[in-house]
Amino acid sequence: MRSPPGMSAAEFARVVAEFERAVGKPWVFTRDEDVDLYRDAFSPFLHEAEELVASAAVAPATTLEVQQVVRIANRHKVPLYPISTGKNLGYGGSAPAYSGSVVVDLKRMNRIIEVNEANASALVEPGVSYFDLYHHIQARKLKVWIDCPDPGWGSVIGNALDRGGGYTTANYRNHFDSHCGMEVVLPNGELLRTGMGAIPNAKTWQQYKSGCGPWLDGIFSQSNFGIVTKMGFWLMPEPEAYLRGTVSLSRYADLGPMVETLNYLENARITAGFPDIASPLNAYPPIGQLQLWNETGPPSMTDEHRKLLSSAKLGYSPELEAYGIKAGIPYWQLYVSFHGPAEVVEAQWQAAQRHFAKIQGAKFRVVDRVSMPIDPAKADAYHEPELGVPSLRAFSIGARTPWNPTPSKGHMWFSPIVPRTGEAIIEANRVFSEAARELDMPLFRSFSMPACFWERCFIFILATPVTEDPATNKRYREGFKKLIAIGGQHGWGEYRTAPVFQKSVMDVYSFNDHALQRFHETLKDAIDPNGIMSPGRYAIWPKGLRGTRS
Amino acid sequence: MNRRNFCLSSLATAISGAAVAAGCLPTGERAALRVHASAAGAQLYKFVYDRRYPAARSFGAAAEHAPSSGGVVAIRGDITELWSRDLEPKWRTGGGAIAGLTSARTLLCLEQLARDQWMRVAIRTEHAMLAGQKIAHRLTASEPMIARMTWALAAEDWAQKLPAALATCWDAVGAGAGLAIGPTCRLATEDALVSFVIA
Repeated sequence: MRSPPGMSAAEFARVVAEFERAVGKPWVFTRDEDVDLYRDAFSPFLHEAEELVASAAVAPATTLEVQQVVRIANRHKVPLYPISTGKNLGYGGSAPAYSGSVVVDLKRMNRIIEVNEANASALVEPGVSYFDLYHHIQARKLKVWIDCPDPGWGSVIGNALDRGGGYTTANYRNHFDSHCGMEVVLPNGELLRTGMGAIPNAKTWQQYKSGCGPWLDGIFSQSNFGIVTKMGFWLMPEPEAYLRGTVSLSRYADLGPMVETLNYLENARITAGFPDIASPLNAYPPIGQLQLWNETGPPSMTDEHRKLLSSAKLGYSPELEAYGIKAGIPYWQLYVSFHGPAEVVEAQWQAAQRHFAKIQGAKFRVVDRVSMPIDPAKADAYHEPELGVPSLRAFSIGARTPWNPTPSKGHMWFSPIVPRTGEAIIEANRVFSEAARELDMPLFRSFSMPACFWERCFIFILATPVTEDPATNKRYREGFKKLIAIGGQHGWGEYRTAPVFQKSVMDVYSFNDHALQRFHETLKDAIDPNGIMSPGRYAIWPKGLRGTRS
Repeated sequence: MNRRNFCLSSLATAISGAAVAAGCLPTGERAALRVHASAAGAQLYKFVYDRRYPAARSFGAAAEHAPSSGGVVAIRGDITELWSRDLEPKWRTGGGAIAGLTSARTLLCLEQLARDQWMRVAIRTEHAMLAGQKIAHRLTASEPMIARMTWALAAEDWAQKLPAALATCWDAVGAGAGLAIGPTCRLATEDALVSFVIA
């Protein structure tokens, strides 16, 4: 049996016995083969002693049991690391930020407490996955959609607390923003409800987010201030129709006006569906077709096109542009989508075309025109998450195919937020591709496109591979940290990262001599004086470990 | 007994008897199996193979003759339907050990989902493509299981022999050991695949 740092085996055995009394013996895991299930499948420390690993795991089934576990940990100063389902591969998985922590596995807390169709909301526990919620809704024929990431195997609460994103409409794609109300076990074991939930017998917990007074919810995301045991979410009423169309543009200089127009249309809610930007001329697919390209390859390309592409800089050369115009291959292709009554989405599509038509040569095509509800069996004809349908198809990405001859052992997501402008797309490509080349990291394609999960910003989501070779992984880890710092120098920061990089990322958020981090630490000392809750998560270390870890 | 222990014991008591009935093992292996054959219980739930790959199709065809309570299912990379309609409800209620031959990414997905029920990969063999139409196998399993699988992996038609060999995995539980076999076999697949038992 492994033990937490600084704790003898005998002392830890007494703690384990207390955990067993609290949650039942079958739900405390100390054997290596059980604890190894909590290793990060994509750990960048593959085959290295520094891999972050747990000492044990405990799986409570109720909020009361969570409170008991936390109180035991407080008495014995045992570090805990709560997870919901631990499926955030590429961002750390279920492995703790501080090796030797006891994982608090919440997947047995999988009750869907309520789906309120009239209010279009749900109240769930952390073990509820997107599949669970989707099937619950489908079985009851409720007219609401979930918004899920891709793959959709993770926890609704866990993804929201990690501030993940999805693919339906702008109101729901930001999973933390679409939550409404939390129940939290604090590090001292006390139970707290936020928003209107702070009123005993609250009638509007999932209707009004902020309650009265300071709105605390944000401090329980990407943090270590408590264990969220219930969370409310707003759901999207099932639309009557879905329309998706493309806007194709032929010149490199069209990128800026295209983004400006998209921003206006989205901010004005003329389009609200997931905007997906591709560059056919740069052989860059829309996100929704990544799996297809991986399985069957990209559209065929002439030798001339391939040659021009290889000599282009930042995705551009006059010759490449001329070739694209001659061959009818768009430089940029924006997928815009609309959800609502058929007559409304048609009108929105018309309005969108009118705005994009101000860009010379813009061409338009309807890709999908779908009446809802869609037959779930036919959902795989689309990028399912854009229709609120969870999928595991993302795992065909990375399979060995002729177009992907050497799949990696995993990846670390490098995901900086950049401004929503055409200039920022090009500048980020310049900065990161130059840096990746110098660092010899296989990060960027010749030209990469950002994603539009959130309103008013872009995010690049780039996979740094994890290999079988520790020396290569070490080089990539160091390179990854340099990329984070380089991004920071340009005013860009990561939205989320794995524990091994959390200090590097938070170091970028350094305004006024790291005032934000110092405030986090002030909160940590006040809320969790024994430092038991997820020590080190997002670089928030308890006082006792702060000096040695920074 | 927690869900995982239930699952493992069900697997242990079940597969052995049917594997003997299949009559597809060396004499010594059959004798060893008979020791376990008297125990009754659930069977290996399902065989899974990825029909995109010739070797996996051979595996799938052979699996039709191997013992399982839920039969054989072909996938094409994506396991969404298999998992959400079949494995997830089965695993949630306990049991449902599966064997398969798929891409490594598919196994990664299944392995992560199996963790939700504290199930794990008990046997893993990576079938690595080498130059010159050869393939090497890297097996991680318990020592008894390694001994029983070696004959299958050394054969030219290893993919066809694997289902019967995997179906003898009642004592697959325990510390895993590694073994590399080959490169001795003719290539039967254009891809690097992985075979497994999740229990």
